[in-house]
Amino acid sequence: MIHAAALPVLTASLLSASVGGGTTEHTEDSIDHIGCLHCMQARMEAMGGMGARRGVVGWRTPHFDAETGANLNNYPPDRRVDHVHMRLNLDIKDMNVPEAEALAMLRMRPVGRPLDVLTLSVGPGSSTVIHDVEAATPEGEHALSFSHDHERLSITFDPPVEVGADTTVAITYTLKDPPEGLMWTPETPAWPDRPAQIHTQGQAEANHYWFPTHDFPNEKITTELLVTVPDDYVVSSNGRLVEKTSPADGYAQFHWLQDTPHSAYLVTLIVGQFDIADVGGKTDAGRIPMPVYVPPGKGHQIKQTYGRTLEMTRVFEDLFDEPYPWDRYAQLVVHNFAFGGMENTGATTMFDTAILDRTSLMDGNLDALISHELAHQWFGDLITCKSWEHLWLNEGFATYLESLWYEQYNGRDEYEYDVYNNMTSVIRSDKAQWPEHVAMVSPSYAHPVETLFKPANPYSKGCSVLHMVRERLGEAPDGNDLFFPAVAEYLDRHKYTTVETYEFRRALEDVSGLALERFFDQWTRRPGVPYLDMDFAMNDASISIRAEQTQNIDPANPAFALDMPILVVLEGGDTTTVVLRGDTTVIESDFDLPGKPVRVVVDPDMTTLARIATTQPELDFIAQLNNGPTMFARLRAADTLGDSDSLGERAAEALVAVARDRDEHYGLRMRCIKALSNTGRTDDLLAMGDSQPRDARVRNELMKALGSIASDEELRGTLPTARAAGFVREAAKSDESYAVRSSAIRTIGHIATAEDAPTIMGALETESQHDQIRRAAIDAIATVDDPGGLNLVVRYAAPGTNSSTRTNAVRAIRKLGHHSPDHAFNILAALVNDRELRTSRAAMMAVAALGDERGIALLERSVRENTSTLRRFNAQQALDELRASLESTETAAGN
Amino acid sequence: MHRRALALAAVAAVATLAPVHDATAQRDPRITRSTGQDTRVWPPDVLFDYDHMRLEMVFADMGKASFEAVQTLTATPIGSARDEITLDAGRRLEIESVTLDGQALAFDHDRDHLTITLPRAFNPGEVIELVTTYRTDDPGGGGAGLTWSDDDSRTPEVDPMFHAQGQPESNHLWFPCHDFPNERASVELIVTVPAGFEAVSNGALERITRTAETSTYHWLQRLPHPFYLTTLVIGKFDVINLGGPDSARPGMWMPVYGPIGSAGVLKRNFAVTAEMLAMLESKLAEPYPWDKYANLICRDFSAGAMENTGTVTWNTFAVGAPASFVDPINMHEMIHHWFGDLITCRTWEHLWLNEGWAAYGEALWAEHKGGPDAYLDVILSNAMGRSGQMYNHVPAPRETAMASNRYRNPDQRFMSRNNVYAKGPIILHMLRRHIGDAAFWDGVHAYIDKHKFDQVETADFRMVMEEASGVDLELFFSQWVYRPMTPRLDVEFEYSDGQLEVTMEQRQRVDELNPAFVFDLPVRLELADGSTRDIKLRADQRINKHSVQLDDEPVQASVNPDFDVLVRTDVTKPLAWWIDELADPATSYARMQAEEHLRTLDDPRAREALAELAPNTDAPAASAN
Repeated sequence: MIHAAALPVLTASLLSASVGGGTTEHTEDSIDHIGCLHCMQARMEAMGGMGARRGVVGWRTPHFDAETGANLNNYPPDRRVDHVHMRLNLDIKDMNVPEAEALAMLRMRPVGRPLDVLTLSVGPGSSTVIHDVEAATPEGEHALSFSHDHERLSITFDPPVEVGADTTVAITYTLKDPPEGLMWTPETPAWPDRPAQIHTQGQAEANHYWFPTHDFPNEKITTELLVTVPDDYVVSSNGRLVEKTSPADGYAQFHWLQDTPHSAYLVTLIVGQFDIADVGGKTDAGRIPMPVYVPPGKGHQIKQTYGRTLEMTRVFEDLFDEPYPWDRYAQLVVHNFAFGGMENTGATTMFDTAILDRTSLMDGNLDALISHELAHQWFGDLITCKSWEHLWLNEGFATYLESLWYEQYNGRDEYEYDVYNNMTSVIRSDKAQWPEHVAMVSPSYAHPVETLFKPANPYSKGCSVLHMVRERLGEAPDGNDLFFPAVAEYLDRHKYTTVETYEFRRALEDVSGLALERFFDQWTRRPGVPYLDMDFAMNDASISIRAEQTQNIDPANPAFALDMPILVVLEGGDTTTVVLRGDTTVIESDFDLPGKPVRVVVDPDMTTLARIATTQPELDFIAQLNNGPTMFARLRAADTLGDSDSLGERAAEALVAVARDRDEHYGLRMRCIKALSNTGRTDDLLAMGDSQPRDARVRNELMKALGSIASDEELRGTLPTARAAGFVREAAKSDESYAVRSSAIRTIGHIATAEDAPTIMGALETESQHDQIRRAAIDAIATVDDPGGLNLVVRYAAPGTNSSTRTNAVRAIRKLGHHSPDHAFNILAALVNDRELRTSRAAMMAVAALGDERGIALLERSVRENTSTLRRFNAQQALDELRASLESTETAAGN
Repeated sequence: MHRRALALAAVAAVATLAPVHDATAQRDPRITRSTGQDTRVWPPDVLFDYDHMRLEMVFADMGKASFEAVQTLTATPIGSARDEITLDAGRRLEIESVTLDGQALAFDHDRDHLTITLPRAFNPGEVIELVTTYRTDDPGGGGAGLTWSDDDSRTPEVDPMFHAQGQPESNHLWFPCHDFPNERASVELIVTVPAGFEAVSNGALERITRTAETSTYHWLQRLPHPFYLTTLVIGKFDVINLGGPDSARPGMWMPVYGPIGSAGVLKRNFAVTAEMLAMLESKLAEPYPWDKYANLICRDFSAGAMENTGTVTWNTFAVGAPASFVDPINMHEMIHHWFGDLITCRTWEHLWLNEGWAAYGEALWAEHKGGPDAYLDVILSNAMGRSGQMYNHVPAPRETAMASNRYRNPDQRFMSRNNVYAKGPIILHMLRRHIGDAAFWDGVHAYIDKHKFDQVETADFRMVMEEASGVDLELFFSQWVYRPMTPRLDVEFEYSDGQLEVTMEQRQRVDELNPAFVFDLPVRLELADGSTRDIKLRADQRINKHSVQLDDEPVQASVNPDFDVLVRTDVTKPLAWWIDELADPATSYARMQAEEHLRTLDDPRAREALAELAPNTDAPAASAN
C-alpha cells in the first residue's frame, strides 16, 4: 500500500483551519504536538485565535438563553434501566460495500419504577434501518412495538417490566454507512493498494450511530461483539477473543467478550488488514497481551514506536497500586482517524501515522500519546466521568500521567518541563471572566466536543490542577507523596463506576485530612487564574512581600485565595521558604528571616496557576536560570528574561550558555533560544547557526529563530538576513530531521525567490513521517501566494492523500483563493461533505474564511441536512463565523 | 435543632433578617467590594482523626457557672506525620496544662484556638492521648455553650441548672474540640455534682458514684458523633420513663426529665414518643442506633429543642404547651437521630440534610396519623404559611440558596429566606413525587445504609437517590436546592374545537443567574363526558405554550392539584370552573386555590359561592401572607 505520510496532529490542523483568516494559525508539526484528543497547545492557540476574532461571543458558551429565559446547561439523561449486557452480531458481506446486518441483544433491568417505554439512542433512519424489536423472556419471544424518530428508538412494554426483572431486547437492523461513529473506508482508486477498513469512534456520543444504546457515560455495561467478515480481514474489539470460527466459506467470525463493565462510548470495532506484533508481558495483573496493529509493511517499526508500553503499564500499576484492569491492551493504527488517539477499553485506536520511522525518532517519540491513552485505561475506562462536565477526571489524569511517565522514565526535569508547558498554556488562555468564559468543570456546552477545546481546558488545566493537588497534599509518612495513596484510594472506591468531581475531592480529603472545597471551587468550578503583580522589599532580617491580583475581579469572579511558597535566598547562600497567604485583591505580608535576604524565587514548585510579574532585577533571573532550584524555576527565568524589553548583556550570555550546553535539558535550551529570539539577539542566534545543536529538537527551535530573522521585514537586505537565510536554505534541503526541514521549508515560504522553487517542489514530492515535509511545502506555497500555487496544492486536497495533509491543502486553497475566487470556492464547497471528518471540517472553516456569501446557503444546507451531530455542529460553527465576518464587512462598508 | 418550634421567635428572627438583606440589596453579596474577597465560608481541615473524648468535670458549687475539668482526647494524625494540633477552645477556658504520657506540652491559647506542640511528629495510626486540665467561670451562656441558670429566689422549687447547646459551633466554649461537623468521635462524660443534683449526658449511664456531698454520673456513648451534639444537663428533675415492656418500643430507655412537679404534663406531652420511635424504625428500615432516647426540659433554652444524641434538650414550652404543639417537635428531634446525628451535614452549607429531613419528619408523622391529606397539609403550611416558600421570589445573588456556604455566621444558615426548615421538607416532598414512593424509600434506605456515621454533602444524597430511581437529579437539585427562590407561573387555558391551548409564563425574575425553572406542571382535566385526564405540561422557558388534543370539552382544569411542584400559580380559567372547584375540588389544595382566587374577585357569584362554603369549611387559610 502507499503510505502517504499523514500529518501528526489532526487536531492541530483541524483547529487551525477553524481559525480561518487569522494569523494565529497553528502549523507546527513537531512531535510534541501529537495528541489524541489531546494536542493542547494547538487547540488552545487555535481556539484562542478564534475567540479573539469573535470578541465577546467567541467563548461565550451558552448556559442561558436571554430570549427565552431557558437554562441551557447540559444534564445527564435518566437511567430508566440498568443496562447489564450487550451482545451485538454484525455480518459484513463485503468490506467494499458499507453495509452490515445487525442484531443487538440488550439485557437490562428497570430502575426505580416499572418500565413502560424504553428510549435508546440510535442512528437516523437513513443509516440505521430497524426491522423488528423483540423481547426475549423466559416464557419466549414476542414482538414489541417501537418507533424510530430521528436518533431515538422508543420501545413500548405492555405490560411494563417490573423493577429489577431481567429482560432482553433484541433489535434487528441494517446498518448503512453511518455518518459518524463507525467510519467505513472502502478501497478506492484514489488510494490504490490501501485495504478496506472499518474503525469506530464513540466519544463523545457517537456509538449510537452503529448500535442502539444508552449513549452517555453515566451507565456501564459488559459488551460482546460477534462480527463476521471476509476471512482475509481481522477484527478487533474490547475484551478478549473468545473464539474465531468460520461460519461460511470465505468468512470468519470473531467473537469478542468484554466481561467487566464499561461505558458505551468505549465500545470499539476495527476491521482491517494489519501487521501485528505483541509488545506485552508480565504485569501485576499477570501476562497481558499488548498487540500493536499497524498498516501492512510497518510491522518492523512497532518495537521502536510502542516498545515501552509494558514498562509504562508497570509504572502506572506501581504508582497507583492498581493492576492493569483489562484482558488485553491493543493499540491499533487506523486510516482516517479524526483524532490523535482514543482510549477504547483495552483497545486504543491511534491516528494514521502513529508508527514512527527511525529518522523521525530524533524529533521525538510517541510516549506522550501512548502513555496518555494507556493512562485512560484506569482514568476514563475503569473510572469514568459521569457526564462531560467532569471530563477532566478522564483527560486531566491522562495528561498528567504523561508527565508522571516522563518523571519515572526521563527524570524529574522532564516532568517539570511537561507540567510547566501545560501550566503556561492554561495561564495564557484561561481568563477569570465568568460568564463569558466557562469553568473547566461546567455543564455549559453547545456540543460535548466543545468541552475538549475550552480555555479552561480539561487536558492542560486538569493536568495543572493534579500537579497542584500533589504539591498541596504533601508527604505520606513513608516520605513519598501522599498524592499517590490518595489517588489509589479514589481508584479503589470508584473503579467500575462513574464519578463526579466531588467524589475525587472527597477521596483526597479523607486520605489527607485537608479540606479542599475551596481549592476545588476556585481551580475547577470557576474559570481563570490570578495575575499577580509582586513586589519584594528586602530588609536586614526580614522581607516584605506585596502581591496584587490584577485579573478581572467582580462579584462573579472574586479574588483568588492564595497560599504560595516563596523561596528566599539569604546572604551566604542559605535558603528559607515563606508562604504568602491571603484571599484579598492586595495581599501584604512581612516575614522575619534567619538572615539577610538576597533574592527570591517565586513558587519554585509551581504550586499555583498564576501569571506572575515581579519587580525583581534581571540579575535575580540570571541566578534563577542557572541555579533553579527547580527546572520549573529555571524555565520561568528563561521565559521572564525572554519577555524583557531590553535584555542585558549578561542575561544574554547566560541564555546563550544554557542554550549551547548539550548537558542541559533540551526543553530549557529551547526556551533560552526562544528568549533570545524574542529579545532580538540576532548575532547570538547567528553565531549558534555556525555550530548547530545536535539535538534535533533544540536545532528545530534554533531554525525557527533563524527563520524569523530571515523573514524579518526590518532586517531585509542586511547581512544577518542573508546569513540566516543561508542556514534556512541549507536546512530545507539537507537537514536530517524532518521537523527541522519542515520548519525551514515554511520559512522559505516567506523569503522565497525563484531559486527556491526547486526546494519547495522537491519537498512537495518528499515522503516523510506524518507527511510533514509535504505539509510544510503546501504551507510554504500558500505563503508565497503565487497565482500558480493553487494548481499545485489542489490535488493534495483531494481524496487519496492523508486527511491531515488534506487540511493543509484546504487551508492553502483558502489563502490562495483570492487569485481565483470561483475556482477556490467550488473546490472547497465540494469538500464540505467529504467522507473524512477532518477534511470536511477544514473545508467548512475555509468556506467561512473565504467570506463568500454563497457560503451561507452551502453551510445552511450542511447544518440542515447532515445526519451527524458533530458535522452539524462544525457546520454551525463555520456558519456563525461566516455570518459574523460578513456582518463586520458590511458594517465596515457602511461606515 | 428546632428553631421554628419557638414559632414566634423564629419567625421574628426571619422577619428581622429580611430587612437587613433588603437594605444591602444594592451591594452584591458575593464579594466584599473593598477587598475583592469571596464571601463564602469554607470548612476547616480535619488533620486528626479524633477517636474518643473523656471529659471529667467537677461542679463544686451549683451557685455559679464554674467547673474544673480534665479532658482526655485520643486522636491520630490523618494523612501526614504531624507535630502540632490545633483545637477550638473558648478564650474563657483557663488551660492549666496539656500533657501527653505524663509529659507537659507547650501550648498556645490564642483567642479561641488552642495550639499544642507535640514532642515529636506522630504518624497516622499512632494514637496520642492528650490530657488537658482546665477550669472556667464562663463556659458560655444565654443558650450557647454551657448555660448556667441561677436559682430563682421567687420560686423556691426551681433550682440552679446547667444545660449545653453546641450547635452550631458553641461547644468549644466549654471543652476544647474540633468544633465543626466534619468529624466525629465517641464521648464519655464523668460529671461530679453536689448531692441532690443529677447530671445527664449522651450515651448510656455506666454508673453513679455517690458520696455524702456529691454524686458522680458516668455517661458513655461508644458510637461516634460530631462534637456539636455533645451535651450536658445538670439539675433537679421529675423523671418519667416512657419505655418498658408495654410501650410501643419495648427495650428502649426513654426517660423524660422535667421540672419538679411536671411528671403529669410530661406523660401527656411525650405520650406518643414510643410510637414515633417505632414508626421511624420501620419507615427508615434502620434501628434507632443510640443507647437511650431521653428528653430534657431546660431553662433559658435559646431555641425550641435540640437533637443532642440520645439526649434531646427542650425549651420549657414542652411543659407549657399542649401535646399537639409538642408532638411535631418531638418527631422533629427524633428523626434527627438518623438525619443529623447518624448522618451529619458535613458543613453548614448542607444543613438542610439535617433540618429539611427533621421538618419532613413532621409531615411523615402527620401522614402516619392522618393520611395523605394531613401529610400534604404540613407540606402546604411550609409553602403557604408564615415562612411562605411559595411566595419567595427574591433572586440570586441578593438571596442565597437553601444550600449555600455564604454566611457571616452559621446561625444564618438556620434563618435564611430559603430556609432549611420550610423549604427543606418541600424539596423532599417534591423529590418523592418526582421519582415515586418506591424509589424514594429505596433511595432513603440506601442513603442511610451507605452514609451512616458519615458526614455528608448534598451531592451524596443526590447520588444515592439517582442510583435508586434511575432519574438524573442534577437539574432538580441545582434549581431547587442550589438556587434561591420559587417560580411564579401564570397559567391560561383556552379551549376551542377539540384543542386546549395552555399558555404558561414564568413571572419571577428570570436572568442569567436565575434562568427559567424547569418542571412538569401537573394539570387534572375534567371533560364534559365525566372523564378525567391527568396531563403534565413542561415549563422550561419564560413562556411555554402547549396544545392538548381533547375528545370532549373540558369543564375543569385543576392546576398542580397535589402540590407536586413548589410553584405559585395564577390561573386564568372561567369563573364557573373556579366556583365548581370550590364546591367539588379534586383535592384540598385545589379547593384552597379556588377559595384564594374567588376571594380576590369582586363578583356576586364568587361571593355567593364563598358564602355557601363558609359554614362547613375548616380549610386552613389559603393566603397566610
